[in-house]
Amino acid sequence: MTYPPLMTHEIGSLAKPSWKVKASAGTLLNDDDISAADTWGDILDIEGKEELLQLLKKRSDFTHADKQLILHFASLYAIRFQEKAGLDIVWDGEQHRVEMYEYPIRRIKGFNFRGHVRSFDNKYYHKASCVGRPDCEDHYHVHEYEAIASQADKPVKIPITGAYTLVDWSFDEHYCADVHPGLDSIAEARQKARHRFLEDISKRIIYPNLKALANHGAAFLQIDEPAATTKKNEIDAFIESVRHSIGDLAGKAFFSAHICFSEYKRLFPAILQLQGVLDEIHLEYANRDSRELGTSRRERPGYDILDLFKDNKFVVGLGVLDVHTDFIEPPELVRDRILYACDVLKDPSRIFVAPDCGLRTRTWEVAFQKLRHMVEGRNLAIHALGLD
Amino acid sequence: MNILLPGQYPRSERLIAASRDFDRGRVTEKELEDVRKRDIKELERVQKGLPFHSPGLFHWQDLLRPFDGLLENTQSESLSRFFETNTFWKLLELKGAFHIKEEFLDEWANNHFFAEGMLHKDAKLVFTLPFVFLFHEFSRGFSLKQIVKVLETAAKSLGKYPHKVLCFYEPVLGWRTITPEEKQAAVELLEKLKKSITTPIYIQTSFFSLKGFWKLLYELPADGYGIDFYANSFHAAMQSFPKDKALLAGFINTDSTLIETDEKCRGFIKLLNDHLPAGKTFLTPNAPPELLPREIMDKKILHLKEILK
Repeated sequence: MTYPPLMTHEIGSLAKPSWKVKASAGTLLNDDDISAADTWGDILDIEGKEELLQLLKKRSDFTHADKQLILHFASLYAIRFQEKAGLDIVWDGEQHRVEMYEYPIRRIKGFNFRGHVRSFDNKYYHKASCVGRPDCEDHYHVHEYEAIASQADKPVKIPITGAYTLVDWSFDEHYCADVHPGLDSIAEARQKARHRFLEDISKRIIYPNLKALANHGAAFLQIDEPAATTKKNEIDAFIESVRHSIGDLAGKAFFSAHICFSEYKRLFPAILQLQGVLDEIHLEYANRDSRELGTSRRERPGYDILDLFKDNKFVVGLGVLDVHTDFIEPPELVRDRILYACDVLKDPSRIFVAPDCGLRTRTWEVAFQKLRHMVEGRNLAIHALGLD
Repeated sequence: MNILLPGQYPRSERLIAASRDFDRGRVTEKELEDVRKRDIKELERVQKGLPFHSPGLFHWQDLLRPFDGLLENTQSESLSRFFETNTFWKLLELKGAFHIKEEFLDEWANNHFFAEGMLHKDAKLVFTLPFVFLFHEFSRGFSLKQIVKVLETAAKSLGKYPHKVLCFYEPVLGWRTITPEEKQAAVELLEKLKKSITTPIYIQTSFFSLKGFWKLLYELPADGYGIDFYANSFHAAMQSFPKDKALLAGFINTDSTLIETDEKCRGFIKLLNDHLPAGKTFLTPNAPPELLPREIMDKKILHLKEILK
């Protein structure tokens, strides 16, 4: 399958509108929340905006049906947000999900949440434990896909949290139950337990979900694996888990893997085994790059890992927006990052353009400007390459 | 044989929520302190009967952060993954001239090791500090000599309090190669401390196989060594273990919320008893206790206490 060069897409989450968050949490809406729905409704040409505004004016005591309608609008706003920014492939930025770990884990049989564990400082995450052999109770992204696809005017992408990340971010009570400390074969015993856990999540959870999505017509499927390089001795296990997750679906949809804020060199050369299984590998680059204009190696230090993609078949998902700052990348900076990548890879059709990661931590105002500049920068690059 | 709990103990769900609410301006400092004090009291109850109590270190963000207050011209901003976990520490960066605020040492010890005065100075406590390689790994701009000086100053200031044990935490062993300069700095620190304080000093490792590192570890002049028995075989650890040293046996699994079964506990305790004198052995978590949720860690400790009865 071939695609136009330099296609643009978002990677993960967008911030949820305050009116959606408050309505879900049962918190009283204020005038600013309603005003934001009104203003963004105008910017994004939201059809049926008045219906939403009428509903939000209740400010509290939303019924289940009200909340469903508010969710519908939050999803619609996020889709139009991406379409209006000019992206080629869109979705709704996690409006249906709590976040990328808790949402799937709550829908997989065999896990119980055990409490909070520190991420850093006073930031904690809710961590679950695998207590029995995991089972796929329902295909937890199909309804979300159908809802988004029914509203989107552009091709839709659905991200799904990958097997390795779900395993690495969970405790294990089931597979390691027979591992006894101090065994002569302790390393092998732990590795065996880990591989069984990973294989079950890949084959029994991720594969059926991907298959259901593909069967329902989802053409772009993104496997999110932020934990992929966490353990340096488990890269092969990660590779194997992707292989099991996609299985015989390779070629039936466009499969990408998103990995960020990691030690990417650990992935090579093992990840080359996934050529023909994965279509695209998206990494974060802009966070490591300078803000100087230019297309030389000196000005583009964040993109040195591109050298490892030179002689393979992967589409390179090129992160060109730093999601951790309100700095709005000028279109010319985006252009130069793309042109540098084109120069290294010698083939613009092997490059998709995207932010480094989800833009959830940015306001909608900042995220919108960043995405618009990304599209403008892509257009400048197309012009510079003579592809327009 | 008994239990020892070095490192940061997990915060309760209540304290986690209060810390988050404090950051968002929803509760006052006093309200947060009240919750923290309750956590310390509850931890005291869990540890009742243990020879040395953990002060919890509930307001520490990571093991290097207390040094941000003890040193001039430092900052802690850049996040760095804590080895192969999903937890992150902030790098301690020296941005100007190196200077230890020695005039604040007593206040520093009181705040960071005695729970801001809640714990009595004579209480039997286990103190935790990062060891040389760990400090080196999670800091920037410090020479090894400066790291030794910081740790020596901190350890000596803690060494004047009676009835304590000092645990240096060192997961870098097994993670990467240790340079001869680093090894020399580690030995120098320990030799200086052995000459100036009587507090027993233990080096606790975790996470990684120590294959190729046993000699280095056992040659460090400490009073005992902590070994992660989910990363190392007991027989490998015992082959060259110095018989006059204490063993901190990393048995309580921080990678699993499964409470260790009676069979698993008794089997491991027997293994230890068959090889080492009971008075020289402690059961510990195999890695930082705070990698588990509080409720689970409490249950693991209480269960193990029952078995040891």
